[in-house]
Amino acid sequence: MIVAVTGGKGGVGKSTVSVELGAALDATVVDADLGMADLPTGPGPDLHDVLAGRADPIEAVREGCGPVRLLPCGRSLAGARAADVSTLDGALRAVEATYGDVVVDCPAGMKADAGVPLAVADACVIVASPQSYALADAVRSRELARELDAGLVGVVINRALDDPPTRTFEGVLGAPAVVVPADPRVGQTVESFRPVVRAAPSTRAARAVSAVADAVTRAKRV
Amino acid sequence: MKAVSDATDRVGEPKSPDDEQPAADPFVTTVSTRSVAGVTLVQVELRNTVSVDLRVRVRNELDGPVLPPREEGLPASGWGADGFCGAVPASGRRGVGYACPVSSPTETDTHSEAVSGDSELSRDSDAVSIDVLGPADGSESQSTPTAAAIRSLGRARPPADVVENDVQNDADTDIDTGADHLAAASAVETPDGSTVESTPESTGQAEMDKIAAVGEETDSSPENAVGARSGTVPVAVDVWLDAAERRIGHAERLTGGTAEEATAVLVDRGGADALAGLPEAVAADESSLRAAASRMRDLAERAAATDAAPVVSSLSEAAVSSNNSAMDSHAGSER
Repeated sequence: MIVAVTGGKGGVGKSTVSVELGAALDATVVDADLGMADLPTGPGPDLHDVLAGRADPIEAVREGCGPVRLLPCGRSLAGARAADVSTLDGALRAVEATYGDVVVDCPAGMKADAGVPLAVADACVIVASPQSYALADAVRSRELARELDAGLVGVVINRALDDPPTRTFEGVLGAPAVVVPADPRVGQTVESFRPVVRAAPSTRAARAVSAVADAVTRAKRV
Repeated sequence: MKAVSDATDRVGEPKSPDDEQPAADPFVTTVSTRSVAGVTLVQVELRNTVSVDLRVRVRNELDGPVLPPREEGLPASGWGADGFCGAVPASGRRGVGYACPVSSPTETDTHSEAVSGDSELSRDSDAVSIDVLGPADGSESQSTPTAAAIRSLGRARPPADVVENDVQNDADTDIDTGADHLAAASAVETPDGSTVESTPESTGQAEMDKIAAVGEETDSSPENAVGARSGTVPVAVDVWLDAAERRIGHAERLTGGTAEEATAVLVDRGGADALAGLPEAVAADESSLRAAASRMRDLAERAAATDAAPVVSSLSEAAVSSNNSAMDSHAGSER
């Protein structure tokens, strides 16, 4: 199963949620933000190399150096220019065939680099900011997902401080929403590469992510 | 059902008995072709005479590959290697057009002069064959979801100017000849005057234009200036030579190669269509490289024969001293 984690604006926490969800599902996380890599990388082939035909997708998957398997993205402008997003489909399916579930960390925006992962994915999760003015961004992502046939499995209202308008989000977006509170441990997930679903499973944040993971698994069975 | 009709818009030209449409043909088809610098542009207008949406296939019958219209680098919806498949609305029209890298609609004619008169009539209609596929049921979903997403949303790549040493995939360059070639087709001579054969599927032409464009952009860049000072090859030339070397490398592997080698090269180049133009492209490379080499040799000799330093330094001295005296008088007036 290929799940895309999206959410129109930059900075809502797509990468964090991708790593958390990847840990909860024991999936391979693919950093598909071709223009601005979000997740840590290291020496070896990356997604830019894969999409430019220089490397096999399986060669680019890093195992055993963190809590999740990761296919990182490159960081150069030249790499981003040479990457052909139309080959992302084949790359994601190759990773799925070898490793199982795939969580795709999508870039912000509404261009093909944000759209193609949704077109390929079997389901998607929208990450939203809790303020009601951010609902419009979430709606745009929802519309894009609908246009590209990616079924919305759940909404993550991220970095919530007070009680966010969960029912409003659910009503407008048409999918169950979970709340991930503003938790400094979650803020560290990407930097330290320690997802709270493993390190602190009893926290509200971890339970929220697990709920989304369950929804993904249920969608898979259907 | 093959239905090729010659119902052109020429006034006063009587239809011959051969051209009468069979009664069952729902389409009135107008085909016209135009030859521009080694490429034939084909225009097909389909008029649906029945009040039902119909699906039609327009197949290319010219002796060359189809260069379809492109959106975001991908062939437009409905286009494939053979031609076009799509729907024509009830009692409506649809126009489609494409390019084919043959110099004229007939196989034997190798000149790209305009063909006039009656003979063009039969050649034009021979350029395509039309098949009626049946009623259109709205399931025209031939594009993959990925291709549809790319076309409707647009690619998001950094522009070429921000990327130094932009070496596109060779496959990219070759496949792009559809658009590039047509753009270049109107100018047979390259901007710098060197002669390049505009043979079908030659990427030499497209690249000369790209290099000219890169040259304009990077003319005053430190990179090119450094290249000039230290004797290294400028970026734009490197790009061209790398691409030519890739093509020549592929051609070398195919020269008397084994089936295994041939398959490897086929995969590298991205299919038989991309491979088809390789021999001509390499021939064009040879002539461009020789032309460029002789020009480079001449320029290098001219450069070696110059000795502008003495005159330049005395001019600079003169300029400096006149600046100084201007500044002195200006400072004087301020007090």
